[in-house]
Amino acid sequence: MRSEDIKLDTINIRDERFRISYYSDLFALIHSISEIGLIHPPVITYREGDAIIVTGWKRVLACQSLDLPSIPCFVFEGQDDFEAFRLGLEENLAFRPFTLLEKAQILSRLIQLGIPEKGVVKDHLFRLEIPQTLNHLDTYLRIAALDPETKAAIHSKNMVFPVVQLLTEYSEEERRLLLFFLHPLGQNKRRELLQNLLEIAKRDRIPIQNILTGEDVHGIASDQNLSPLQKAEEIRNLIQRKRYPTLSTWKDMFKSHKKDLEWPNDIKIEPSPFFEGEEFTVHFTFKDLDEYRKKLTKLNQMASDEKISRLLKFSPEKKDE
Amino acid sequence: MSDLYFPEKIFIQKKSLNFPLTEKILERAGHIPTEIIENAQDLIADFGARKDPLLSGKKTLFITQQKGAFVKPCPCTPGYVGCNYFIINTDLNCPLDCTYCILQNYLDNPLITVHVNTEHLWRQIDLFLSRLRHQIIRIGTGELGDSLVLDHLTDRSKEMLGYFRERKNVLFELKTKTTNISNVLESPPSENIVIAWSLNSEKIAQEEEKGAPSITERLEAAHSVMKRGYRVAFHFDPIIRYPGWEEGYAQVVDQMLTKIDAQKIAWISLGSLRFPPPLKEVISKRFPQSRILYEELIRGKDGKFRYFKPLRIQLYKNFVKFLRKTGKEIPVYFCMESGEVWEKILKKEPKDKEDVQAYLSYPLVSVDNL
Repeated sequence: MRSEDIKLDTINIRDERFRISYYSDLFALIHSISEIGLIHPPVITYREGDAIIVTGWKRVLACQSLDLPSIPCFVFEGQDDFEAFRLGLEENLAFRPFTLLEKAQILSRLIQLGIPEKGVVKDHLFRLEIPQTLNHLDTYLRIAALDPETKAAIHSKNMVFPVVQLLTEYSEEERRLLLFFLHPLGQNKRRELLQNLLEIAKRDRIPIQNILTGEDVHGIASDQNLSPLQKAEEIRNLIQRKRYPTLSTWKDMFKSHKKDLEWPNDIKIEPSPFFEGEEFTVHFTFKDLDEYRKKLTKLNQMASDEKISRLLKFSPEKKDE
Repeated sequence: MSDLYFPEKIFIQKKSLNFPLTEKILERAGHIPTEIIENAQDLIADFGARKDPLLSGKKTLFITQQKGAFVKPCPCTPGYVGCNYFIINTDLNCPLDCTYCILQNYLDNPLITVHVNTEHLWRQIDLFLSRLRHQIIRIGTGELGDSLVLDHLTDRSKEMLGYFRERKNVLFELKTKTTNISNVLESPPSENIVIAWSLNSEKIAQEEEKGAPSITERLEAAHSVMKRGYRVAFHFDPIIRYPGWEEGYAQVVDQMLTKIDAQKIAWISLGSLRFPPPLKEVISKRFPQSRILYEELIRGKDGKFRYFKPLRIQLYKNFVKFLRKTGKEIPVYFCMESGEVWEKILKKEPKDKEDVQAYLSYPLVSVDNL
């Protein structure tokens, strides 16, 4: 490849045929270039008379921000778009791991460049550390086709693959309604909310939008006294209850029995996970023998309270009676 | 559907060409295209990369040899009551396409696979039975594939029935959803042989058991087998909750007891829907119209998804009520359930899996007389 000084205003940045990264923070790069100059020249190629970027988008954009008139570039002289794309791909693969969105973009570009799906599965998925199946390719192509607002959210909130995969099952409008609630939650809770919503919609054969625009959801969303995190948690709980009504009732019953018994706050008692086993767990901490004895005494007192049997014989029969 | 299964293509591993069972299958398969391959792993990998490996695999028969054990204890599931059952894995996978099928996740190989090294099979069974010759053994095929769905190609049942008829300390069971019973009807019955059908409500059979005969057809087949003199058994597994399940299951129990003499029913097993977590994605992808995943399924003690316990108990209570309505005593047991559920529904909590085995081993009750 030959080297050439290219005027920045002659680079056609509207032609994004080789671009794979869209969501990057240029601040550090701008600072670095302003301090020590551009060390690694981008690669450009000419198509129909225009200079277009093969690799080095961030570098070009950073230099534009600095109002540099021209920058040194390598010029790829071949006319085969796949070869040009491969050059950028290999360069990046050698230096850094790709983000989920970049992997999706790469696979989408390969398909656009005419590589058959089977070829992409066989030759490219493993290099991106993706299992070599058509199903995985399908999922990544759906991620690549997501709207920019969702992609920006995925990037800014560093959403993980299982969450993003679920997002692809929603319509753009549904995602727009949902993103506000997803933002404050952690990855597991995001996944749970997305999964539960999808499953309620499938179970009840109703559009997700109907759930999201329901009065109960609206009531929480418009409550001025709640912070975004509180709203998101309330919505998550509401949807969880809709998805698991019987389990939620049981959890409430257990809580209510505990309250009736005035179970001490500093000693935890839990049924087996999902009430599946018959055993309970009691958990407490103590710092010395005195505290240990006090808690045991308290537990003994609880054991002699008649109401404890309601808590410990907590079973389906009890509910039926 | 009660048509016999024929694959679209047969792959034969080169080393498995000169086996009598290979020759039999190829003769009966007629003009189905065949291909001889060297490496099974390449073939499995090729199918594994397809869009729906399972669907492609169901259309393809693979003739090879079993390298591992043919006979294994039924793995049951940790944290729940087992029944001391042994399984014979002759063939793998099943051309029927049931939504809930565990094999979709259990096996790496999606092809309908027939193991033709029957000499090894019989040697292993002989050895296994001789080691346990003083015990009552419950054993059967149909765990990793339907016992009869390939029978018109392999004649497996004929050989199995002939062999086990003479092993009086063994209760042998064939398990099927099909009506492929010609070989069974041609073979003389014996008290230690049980032919079992997997049953469900007609709605579940129609919507979630693609390619399987209707419940009426299955019960017709069971009736014919019973008339021939065999004992029969029924596995209501998986019982699935859906709007109207009470009525649906009451109907099938009624249909079963009208068609089949209760005295000839060796046992009925009940098991509610359960599956390992990875199967959820497979089902939702392969059967997007199915709603079986969206009831209240929680993670059980074994990590598998299963209905929240009060819902399971409700299912079983109703079921046993339908069965007891007739006043006939039929042995009922649970597959992969807790002692607590046994106690609450059947009023007996088995001490261990041997206890369950003894309960189900009639008429083979006395090992001392063997």
